[in-house]
Amino acid sequence: MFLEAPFVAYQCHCAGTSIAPAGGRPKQRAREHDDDDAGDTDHDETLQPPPSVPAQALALHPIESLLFCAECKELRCSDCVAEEISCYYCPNCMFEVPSASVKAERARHGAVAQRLCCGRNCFSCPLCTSVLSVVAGSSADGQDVGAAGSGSSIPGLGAMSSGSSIYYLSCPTCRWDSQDSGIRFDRPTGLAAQLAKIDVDTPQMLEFEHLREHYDKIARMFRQPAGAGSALGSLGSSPFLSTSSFAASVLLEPSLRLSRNKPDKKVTPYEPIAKGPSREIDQVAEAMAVPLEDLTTLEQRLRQADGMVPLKISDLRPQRVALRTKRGKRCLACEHIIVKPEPKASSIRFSVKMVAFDRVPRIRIGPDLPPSPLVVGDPFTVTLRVVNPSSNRVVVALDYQPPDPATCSVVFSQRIVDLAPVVDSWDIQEAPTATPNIPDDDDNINPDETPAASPSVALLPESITPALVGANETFVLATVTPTAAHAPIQLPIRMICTMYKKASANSSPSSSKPSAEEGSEAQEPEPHEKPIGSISFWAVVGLGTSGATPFVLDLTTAVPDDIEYAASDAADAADTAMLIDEDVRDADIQSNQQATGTDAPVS
Amino acid sequence: MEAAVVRYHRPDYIETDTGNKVCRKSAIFGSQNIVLGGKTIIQNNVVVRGDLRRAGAGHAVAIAIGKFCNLCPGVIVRPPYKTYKGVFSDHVLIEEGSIVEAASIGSYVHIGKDCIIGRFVMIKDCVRILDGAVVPPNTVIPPFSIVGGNLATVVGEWTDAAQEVMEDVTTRFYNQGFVG
Repeated sequence: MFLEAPFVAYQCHCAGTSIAPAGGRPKQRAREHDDDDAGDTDHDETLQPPPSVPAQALALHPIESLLFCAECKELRCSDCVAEEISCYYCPNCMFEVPSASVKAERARHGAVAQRLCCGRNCFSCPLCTSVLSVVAGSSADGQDVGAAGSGSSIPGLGAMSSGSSIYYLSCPTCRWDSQDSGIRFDRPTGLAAQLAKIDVDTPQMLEFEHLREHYDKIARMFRQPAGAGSALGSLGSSPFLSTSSFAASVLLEPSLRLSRNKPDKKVTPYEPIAKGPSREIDQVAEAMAVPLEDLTTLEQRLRQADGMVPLKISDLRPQRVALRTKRGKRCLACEHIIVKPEPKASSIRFSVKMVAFDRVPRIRIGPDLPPSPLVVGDPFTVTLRVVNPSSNRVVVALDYQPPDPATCSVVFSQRIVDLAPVVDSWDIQEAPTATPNIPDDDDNINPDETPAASPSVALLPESITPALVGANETFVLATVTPTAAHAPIQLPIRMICTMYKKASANSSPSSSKPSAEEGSEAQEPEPHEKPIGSISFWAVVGLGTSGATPFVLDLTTAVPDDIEYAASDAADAADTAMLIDEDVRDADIQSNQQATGTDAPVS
Repeated sequence: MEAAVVRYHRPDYIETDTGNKVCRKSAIFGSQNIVLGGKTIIQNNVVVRGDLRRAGAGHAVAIAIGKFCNLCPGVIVRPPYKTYKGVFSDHVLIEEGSIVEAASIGSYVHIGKDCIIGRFVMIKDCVRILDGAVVPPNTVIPPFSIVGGNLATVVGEWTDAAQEVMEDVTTRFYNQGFVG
């Protein structure tokens, strides 16, 4: 999956490990209270993340498309779930086709994978695939009566006024109508049945009937008491099986001959009644005779579901609208239901819906986006928001592991974030968000930067006012310095999330104060608050692709002033290596604002 | 990922009691025939044709828009026909330059840039319409579809989390992304 530059993608576990059979996984994992230290690798085996850093972009998914299995406590992509159909419906008339009639349809057409279509009045245009509407016209002179505009899509509107009328299908988009193909209807309802009746006379239908009679005769000839005829009987009566059933019946003939080689019963070879152009050269000649604008396109021919290959547009027939399904999803590993939609066509409710979007914490980039050309050696700060969508309190440890050939060096403002449960989205405006969850200090990374209780607010870009920060989200500032030229700058971060029991009403999210002690995060909650589970997964934050080094630019082109500045800035950054001092950061934030914030807020 | 914060010039916008933000530089015709559900944003250069309705006394609703909808700059909204009204449900995002004449649009619908939604189109809930799609008249788009192309067809199935995603996008834009 290709993802555009600033993205956050998540790795489904199926990419790292093969899915274990049901029940094959250890149920209890990560019960430790003190798994706050991101660098501590002792717990990694119990958390069983995919072992390697997620590198292949194919395995990465946006959070929206991932599901979450609560039983396995893992993310699931669409490849590691089994789907089961919960209902069939017509996408046009939203009519739910009962599964009994779907089964009957299947049985009628044998085992051939036939497209299931709406059996009511839904047809699509053979030229442009838009939905056809039924219009009424008078039968006398073929002049349209009620077909004025697309507004008259109500069937039978014209029939009210004129006594005897005919109906036909008309395309409101390309103005094709079924009279072009000589298809008219007597009644405006039950068109599918009427069309089937019209189709009786088509060469395909006649040929099929003829073929059927022929082999019926042969089958009767060789019929054993038990069931030679059953092979043919299963072919059913549909003419639209032409390829496979015809092949089956052709195969039938020599086998019959072989098995019962009786001299008195002679099998006559099949004589087709259709006298169409048989040779390809004739077909070419016929096609050449047709004016170009009357020829069908390849797509139009392929869309004809009944196996006809019409050369001329006038031979095209309206197509029935194929049914659509609603499908539930089941985890392949534990076979629990992850998604179960309500079996109503137009309903968007689910009786079970375990999507990752509202179950697991996620990272968002912004509002300050990374600069679009990433300059090697030029540090920039990007704001990562860690959001907790669940109703549990979650402590997330962000475990950054540089990819093997390191493309950048990163300093995070904090690595462990404590996220309050989500508040009702309707109350965001009204409820004053107590105290915003300002970034806590993480001492093992930036020990020098912790002078006061809430210093990080000062570090936040101006565009983020504390009022805009929900209690269930936290900012993490990542200062990234690209080190490799022409390389995608991606930050693989393992998110180790420990969930705590649903917060009671009186414990406000701000009650847990950030403490400077390392490893005290997990002891903060009240004694009764125990972790109820832990999940870990990889997230990859893609910031873009680094350009050439400024030095290379220097050789080839005239160096603009700002690039020179960037180079000197980069030299500064290289000196301070991992510890970025306040000045550089402030300068960086300011330059960042100058770059991104084009228009200042108007008060 | 994160839509950039849109900063608007506050005097240019009218904020109603129910939290609708309507730009003065938009063209709202027949405002007595338009219903806004609250917390809906109508940005600059949007055209809403509430005046296209059957002539006569009394007022009939021509266009009804629900909660947390966002009409981006340059969107044109017309009712599908004289006697019909166009109904938008909640959490509908219509991006720049789209022309909408739909009969009904369900909740959690995302219409991309420069789309044309034909007359009497019925868009059900949780539908994503890709940029530049031209939806022919009378089309019904079932839930959880991704629709695209000139002469739009269903090109895929949208995620099961569509409702959560659209709720998040629209409410976040109203509360945090659109500041003046």
